[in-house]
Amino acid sequence: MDSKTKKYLGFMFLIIAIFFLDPIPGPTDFVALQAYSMYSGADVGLNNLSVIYADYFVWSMIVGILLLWIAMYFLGWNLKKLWKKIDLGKYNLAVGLSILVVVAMSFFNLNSYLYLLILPIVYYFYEKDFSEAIALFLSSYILILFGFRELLSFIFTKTSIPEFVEMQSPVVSWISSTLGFEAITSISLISSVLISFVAIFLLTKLLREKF
Amino acid sequence: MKIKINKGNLIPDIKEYGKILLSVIITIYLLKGFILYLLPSLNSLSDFWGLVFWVFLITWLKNLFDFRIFGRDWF
Repeated sequence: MDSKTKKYLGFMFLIIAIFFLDPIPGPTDFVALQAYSMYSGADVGLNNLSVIYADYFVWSMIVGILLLWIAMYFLGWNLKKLWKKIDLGKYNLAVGLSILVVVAMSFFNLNSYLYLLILPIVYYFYEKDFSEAIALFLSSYILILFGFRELLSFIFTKTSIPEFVEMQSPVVSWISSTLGFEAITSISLISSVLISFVAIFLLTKLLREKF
Repeated sequence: MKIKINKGNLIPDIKEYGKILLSVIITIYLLKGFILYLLPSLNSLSDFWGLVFWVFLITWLKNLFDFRIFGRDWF
């Protein structure tokens, strides 16, 4: 095999690996979810999604890492080079941690606003950048406000999302009524979580670069 | 991965940590109303000293160690 073919093959595997490794629920999941359905025979419909999501996540991570290894073999990269290509700075790492804060709050069922403040306060002491600390705080706050915590609680308990979700959130209620539902439904909950991820992506970029 | 220990920072500077405590309390009271206005279900305050403990611990560990992973200062 000549080097050009190896490079093409490597990039092809890399793109497929990204589809499986992307942790944030989004458009890429529709490819990986179908693959999971073919592998396990599980029903990946909207009603059953929260029941299978935890198993699906573990499966897609394992498949993604295997594909990444194959891609790295073809491209001749090692871990250090991969890390340089990803170029994850302190700030992006902290944004990832702020998403993890919400995941932990849902997993351990914590009901205190103080957890939203640990990361931004610690970040401010190290970096002395007020706008970035505010962005970290707002990203966890927006995720909870848009119902990410409720959605995760369904995933962690492996129960399906009921037709009408009982939750108190002004933003999710507003999104449901805008979409034309009488109450908060599973569709409006999932779409509001997708909107929240787009919102924090734009917000963290804006607060880093403009302020 | 390289880890260097700064032995000079083993005993924390009480004045600096007092400043941190004060600013943590002020930040909490400034942001409390803003958070609880839209998310009233997060009203439990049982872990206040837990938060202070974590901020202290992380600051102390940060001052004590120098982590260098993949040739770069991460924390």
